[in-house]
Amino acid sequence: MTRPTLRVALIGNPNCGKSTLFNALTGRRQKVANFPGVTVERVEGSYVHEGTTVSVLDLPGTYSLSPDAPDEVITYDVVHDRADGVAPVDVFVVVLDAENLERNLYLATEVLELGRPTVVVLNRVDRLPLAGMKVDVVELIHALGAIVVPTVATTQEGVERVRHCIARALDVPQSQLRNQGAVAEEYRAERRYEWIAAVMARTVTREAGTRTRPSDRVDAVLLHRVWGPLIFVAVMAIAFQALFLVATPLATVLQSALGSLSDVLRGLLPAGDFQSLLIDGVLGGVGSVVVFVPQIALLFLFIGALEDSGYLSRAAFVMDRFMRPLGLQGKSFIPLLSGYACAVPAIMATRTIPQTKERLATIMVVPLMSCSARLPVYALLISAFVPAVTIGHVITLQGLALLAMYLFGTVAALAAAAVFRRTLLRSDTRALIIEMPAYAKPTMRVLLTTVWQRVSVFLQRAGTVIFAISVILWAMGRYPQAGTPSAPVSEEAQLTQSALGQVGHAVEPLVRPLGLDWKIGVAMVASFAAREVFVSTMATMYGVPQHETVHTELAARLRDARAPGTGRPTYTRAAAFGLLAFYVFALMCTSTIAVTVRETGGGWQGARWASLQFSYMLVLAWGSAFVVYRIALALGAG
Amino acid sequence: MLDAALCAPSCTLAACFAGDRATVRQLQCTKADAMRLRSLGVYEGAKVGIVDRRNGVLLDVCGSRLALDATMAGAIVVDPTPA
Repeated sequence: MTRPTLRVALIGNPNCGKSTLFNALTGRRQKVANFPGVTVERVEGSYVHEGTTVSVLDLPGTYSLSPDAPDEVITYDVVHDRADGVAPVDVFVVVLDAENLERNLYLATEVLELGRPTVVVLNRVDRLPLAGMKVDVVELIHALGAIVVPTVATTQEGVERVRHCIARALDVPQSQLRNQGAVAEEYRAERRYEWIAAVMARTVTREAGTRTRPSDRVDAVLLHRVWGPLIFVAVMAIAFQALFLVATPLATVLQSALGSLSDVLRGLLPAGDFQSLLIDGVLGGVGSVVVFVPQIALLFLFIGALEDSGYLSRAAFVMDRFMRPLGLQGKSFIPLLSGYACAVPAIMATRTIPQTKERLATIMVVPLMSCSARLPVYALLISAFVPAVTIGHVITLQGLALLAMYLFGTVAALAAAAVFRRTLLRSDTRALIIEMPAYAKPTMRVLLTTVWQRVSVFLQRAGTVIFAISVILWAMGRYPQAGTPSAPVSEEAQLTQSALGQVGHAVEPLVRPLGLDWKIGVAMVASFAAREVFVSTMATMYGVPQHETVHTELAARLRDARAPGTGRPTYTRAAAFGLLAFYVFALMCTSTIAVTVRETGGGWQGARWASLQFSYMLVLAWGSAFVVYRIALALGAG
Repeated sequence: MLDAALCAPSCTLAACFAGDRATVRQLQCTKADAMRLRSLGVYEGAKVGIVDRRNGVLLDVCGSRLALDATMAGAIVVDPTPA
């Protein structure tokens, strides 16, 4: 017979190997959600031990039970049985990094003083010889008055013993540690550390001269004022190059697999609304989500590897002085840079920023960084309207134009961050206090588990929203139908007559001041779901078949298009520059909107932030397009 | 001969040199930052080592490494023990 579930919470400092132990205990039986009302991730798993189901909650890493950042508040609330939607915990498992025992014991004493069933795990004992340390575990058990289990979670060593001790924790006497902290805060810390120093003296022996770590020599280079930032930029450049090299072909494979599936369905189902719904609506919608998966997975694999190796803390420290004048921290730099690849994982990567307002400001500006989905639009408009002139035998004018698009986006993102941090998201930028963990080899199993968790969260949450919007857009492009089954009309005519086409006509007064016509209006409305749709919609409008040379043919058609009656060019160079500016700044990506909603608290709270993000970027986009168009006209680009 | 540590006047961590050791005297920062520093081992009376100070300060605290930006380093008053 299965006994009632035993609830266990893992608690420990950041970088103590807590998540590795969590993975070792629970294997693949994990689920990720958010704690109610906050954006702190709630990772839970379970296992069965001697007929009892043990539910394990992996609490966010914290240095003490004094709540500061949102994740530390969650840990505090769980420990005191007052976290919304979290059942009271039966057994606490405090994970200690054996190499940093003295500092880790601070949190351990706070938990033990609660007098609740607790198992202390002394993790990473395999590193003790290298650090010239020996820990007398029996003496530590006596000092703490609690069960202490030495482990090496990466190799599963001692993990079965942890399971055994958790099962027995309710039956053994609780620690008698009391009142280390019943004095003022500053004396409390001093008194606690005095007690810890006495415990360290009894339990730990160190070889002389081992205080300097080999990693200090590496840090001298990686944290250097000049070399540090240069090395960081080089690391990121290599990573993004790898991202494009690996993720792009994978996305192409996924797209062609979906294309093949569409062909199969087209062969199996009779032509009509149902076939179109499945192929253009459902598969098209799912496809727009799936193509992001390789980028998300690889970016998180890369960020995870940097974090687990200990380098991410160094990078945050190195970049801090560049980000501080903008009101952001060094930790904001990686999400911003990731935005060049894709805003979706970049927004998810802001989870490493502990301060809520700094994190929100970063989320709000990440989509201004030119992501890979903007490239097809840039490529089309630049190849159509910027002359292919080589400057100084080195770079083409088209290349310079492309570079300018990326620069505009980056400058706008940094400026917008500074504005947000001085207005709506105003707060003091917290001083940088960051632990530099010892360098370590990342564990592939832990990395892959984290990547899978992120990808599945994206597919489940964002996928539903994107799917719904894709189906709505499909219906708007399909109805009302212009032709009849017996007398079908062309795709262009159908699009013109459809609800989407009518919206395009309706927005014409808005795009006319930018020198654009209703056809561009249709493409702009259609591409609100995903900006790359602009190219395929324009191709449909101009009757260019969707094959490999669509870009070249469409660029020529746009360049040669003439207004009926006057014979003057429909699209001037000035209007094209304005349109480019529009696409640099506009947030036209349902995936990004869905992820912003989720990462800013979900529900109405998240929807409000996402609406603000969408609106300010739309205003910025239209305003920039208008200014660029007018300036270009004045300079004779009409 | 008087010990050098007894002679050294109090200063902030920002004024210390790499290789120095120092005893923390006072945390002149916000309450939240002070709480965070204490939980990380930088409390009044703690002995810390200065590993590097070319870009902020890198400290040896209880055997682990803690990086502070220049502002925070300027807010921690210590009694230095020159190397």
